[in-house]
Amino acid sequence: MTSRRLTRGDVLWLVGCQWLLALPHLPNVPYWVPALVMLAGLWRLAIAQNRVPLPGWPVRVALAITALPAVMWSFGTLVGLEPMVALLLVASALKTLEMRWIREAYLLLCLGFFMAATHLIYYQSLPVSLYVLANVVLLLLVLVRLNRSGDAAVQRREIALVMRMLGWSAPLMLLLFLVFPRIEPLWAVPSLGGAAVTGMSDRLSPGSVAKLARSDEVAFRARFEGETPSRSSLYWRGIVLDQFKEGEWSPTPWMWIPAEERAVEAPTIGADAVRYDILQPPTQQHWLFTLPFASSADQRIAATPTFNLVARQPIERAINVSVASNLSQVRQPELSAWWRQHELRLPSDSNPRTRKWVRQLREVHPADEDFIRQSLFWFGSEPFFYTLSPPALADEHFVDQFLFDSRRGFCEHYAYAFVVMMRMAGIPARIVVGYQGGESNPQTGTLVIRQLDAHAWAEVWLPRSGWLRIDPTAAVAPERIEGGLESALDDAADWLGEGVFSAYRFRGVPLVDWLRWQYDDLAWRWQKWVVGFDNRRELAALDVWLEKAAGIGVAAAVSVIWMLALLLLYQLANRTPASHSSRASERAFLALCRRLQRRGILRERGESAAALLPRARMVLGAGDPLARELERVCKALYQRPALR
Amino acid sequence: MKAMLAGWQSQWLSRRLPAARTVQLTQRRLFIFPARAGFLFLLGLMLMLLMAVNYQSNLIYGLTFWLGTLFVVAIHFTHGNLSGLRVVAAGAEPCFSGEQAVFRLRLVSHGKARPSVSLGWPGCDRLVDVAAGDVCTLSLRHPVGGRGWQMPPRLTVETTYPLGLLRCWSYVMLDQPVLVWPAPAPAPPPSREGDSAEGLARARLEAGSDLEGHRRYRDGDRPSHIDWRGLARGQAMQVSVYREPSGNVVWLEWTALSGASVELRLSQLCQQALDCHRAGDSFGLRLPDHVIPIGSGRAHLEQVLRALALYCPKGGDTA
Repeated sequence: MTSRRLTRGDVLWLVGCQWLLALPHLPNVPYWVPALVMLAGLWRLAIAQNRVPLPGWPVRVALAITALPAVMWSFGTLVGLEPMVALLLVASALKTLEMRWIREAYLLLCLGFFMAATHLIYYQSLPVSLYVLANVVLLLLVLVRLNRSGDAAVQRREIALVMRMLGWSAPLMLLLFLVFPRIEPLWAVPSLGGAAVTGMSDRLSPGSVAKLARSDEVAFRARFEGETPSRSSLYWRGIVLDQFKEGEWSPTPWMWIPAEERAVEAPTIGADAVRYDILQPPTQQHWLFTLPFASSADQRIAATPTFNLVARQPIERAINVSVASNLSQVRQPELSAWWRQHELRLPSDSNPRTRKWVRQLREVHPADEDFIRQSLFWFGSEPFFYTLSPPALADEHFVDQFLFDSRRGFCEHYAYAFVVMMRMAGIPARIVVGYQGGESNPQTGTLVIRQLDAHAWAEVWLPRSGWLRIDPTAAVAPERIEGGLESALDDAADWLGEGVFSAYRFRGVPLVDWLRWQYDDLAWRWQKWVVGFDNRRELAALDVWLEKAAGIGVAAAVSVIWMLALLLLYQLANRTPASHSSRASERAFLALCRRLQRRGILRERGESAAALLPRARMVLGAGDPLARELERVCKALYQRPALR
Repeated sequence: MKAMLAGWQSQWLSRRLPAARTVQLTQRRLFIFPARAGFLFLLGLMLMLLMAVNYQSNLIYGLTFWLGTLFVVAIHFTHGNLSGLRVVAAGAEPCFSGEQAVFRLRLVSHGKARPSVSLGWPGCDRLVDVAAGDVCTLSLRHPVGGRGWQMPPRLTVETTYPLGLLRCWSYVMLDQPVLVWPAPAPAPPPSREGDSAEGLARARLEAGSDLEGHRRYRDGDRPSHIDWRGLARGQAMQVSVYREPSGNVVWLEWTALSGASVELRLSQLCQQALDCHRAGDSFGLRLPDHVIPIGSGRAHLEQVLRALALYCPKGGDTA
């Protein structure tokens, strides 16, 4: 079979697909790569218009030879996902320049399917997945286009054909998706070097949470089994910052904690525990955000000595974790000397005014509880303001300036100052960052926690009570805790500076809200059941069966089901109107034909009843019972007097 | 070894797919196998599966499975594009040995459209779209050698539609013999018997039916000579041109060409017959076992050529 040349239309489709496939990789590769894809496409289109000739082999070889070092130079290495993606894009761009025949286009299309898959490493959201699917449909349409004879525009029946094929393969795909054993990675793959670390940072300096709170991006989602706890108790603990160095707070690295102090005892999970699912989108970090104090049976999750849950691997794909929290758990009723000293450590020479003020207050209130209460009361009674854009303060003696001069700050300012005050007073204290609150989907009960719910608060340790949550922000702006950020801000004008067109901005409009929640629910389902699907866990009910029928058994079962499905498929599609028709009238007609044959009237192959009737009348005479019967059958077949 | 294998394959195919005037491409006649692009596609899927495993990505698993099952479904669709198609032999024009014989075929599709069906022999194939419930007629050429009734070689019907990942094909042995006349070879002019009144009279009688060809219509041509059928087919207006008989009467004698081999003699007789026809002579043919009386015109020529093509020398008669 001879391969035909690519027509102008073919080239347009191929180049179009290539551009669409390169688009989502824009943030992952250096700018010259998409530029090359663009230029190569334009060049090939010009060639197809007969404006310029195909580049000769010296040009192509020169391009190919320069491409590899160029990628290497851009990344510094060829190992890794981004260099691979860049190489693929460059290779496909160069391939465009030399393809003339249809058989050469197949390579480009197969590369296209592979490219579509690489998008899914980076992005797992519903819109991007749909975009990838649309690209796959386009690639299939191009395949159909290359295999038909003409160069006409894509016809509706071809789109229908591709859709039908995808539809027919969907059930088998679903079956495989459900039962295909998820194998452990065969080798360590390069991680997503280019994907930005998103969400909460594990460094806290004044202004870091406020920056995050300007975004309405979804931080994570949670769905409770049973009642959702009240908003004011929804403190999603993320990172515990108990180490102050060079103007910022950071978590204590695990390695620095002496081995005997690392012990983490799991919280007691009783009947009154709160159970929920956390659906964490990729952040490239380890942190998970849970209600205090949480435990999870998930193998991918570990607990830290500061009672957090973290993922063992950086979260590069959305994960779905089942968590149980005991909200009233007492943690560390006895604090070891090491921990006590660690949670009290402060630079001794900083913030002299605060130190003096704390000493005075401590003299009046020697009891820890009284001192904490009085501090909070002081925050509430003095003219402190809660604002997203506080004045910038110098790093040195920051707390002094904040507490006695500016008195304008966001939650991290209050948490910072409060913890410093507590430590100065000899009460072990630390900062916790995470999220507070969340928006509940009225249709499904799913809680959506956004970046704007980012929050910082304090934990203090009291003998026997263990670690207690103290939120100084609640003393300054109780509306923040009850009603969320917007209701607490006096200067909400420039809030959400990043998401001008976000649907979140238009909440309150009923239709927008409805659509927003519908979409949110869809996104939740997508993340939970598709992206975060883990057949080892979800098919736990089938475990026994799977175990018994492991290996060959499963494979055999799947193959048999598949074969049967295909056979059925084949039978359904190739049902040709055969002579043994199922319709009663046609059966009667065929029986009659056999009787007519005995009287010498032979029905030709394909001869209709209407054509047979005049012959029968002529040979047998119109009054013959057999001829009349044929006439009746005729009427039944055509549902109207056929011959009059 | 290779020839032996080819021979076995040919035998197996002719047993499995015997020649017939009408061949319906049924399931047992069709073969299907991934095309080159299909192997490339499967390789891509393997890489995608590796990517899914290594990145533990459900979405890539899903995409890989979807494309994988699509490949399986494509087997069925590609197969379905040929399955049930009927290939009907619709005759062949006689031609001289060594020329390209033209075989006419009809493709009949019941029920559904079958785009991009390719059929032919290596070196000559055609790509056709058969519309639903339609009949598609096409002519294929193939060089023929020898003489007499010749069968076309095994026809390959194939399709890669819709995705090009699979190739479904069938070998169709059509019972479609073509008459191959001997190739004309340079020959001494035949002995002329001069004008014979009888021959001339017969020639005159047959004149008018001896169509030589067509030429463009000029004013004054007889309406009865206009090629109305061609006009109806949308061709330009043409008139038929008839040959005037010359009145010569010639006998083409087998025995006059002694010394040459049988095939060469037949070729020479063929050349003589063509020359006579071109000159407008009336001629007859005398073969050892067959005599064709004097006649002229295209039908007569074809009768003579047919006799030459089918001449079967008696055993031992090689002179």
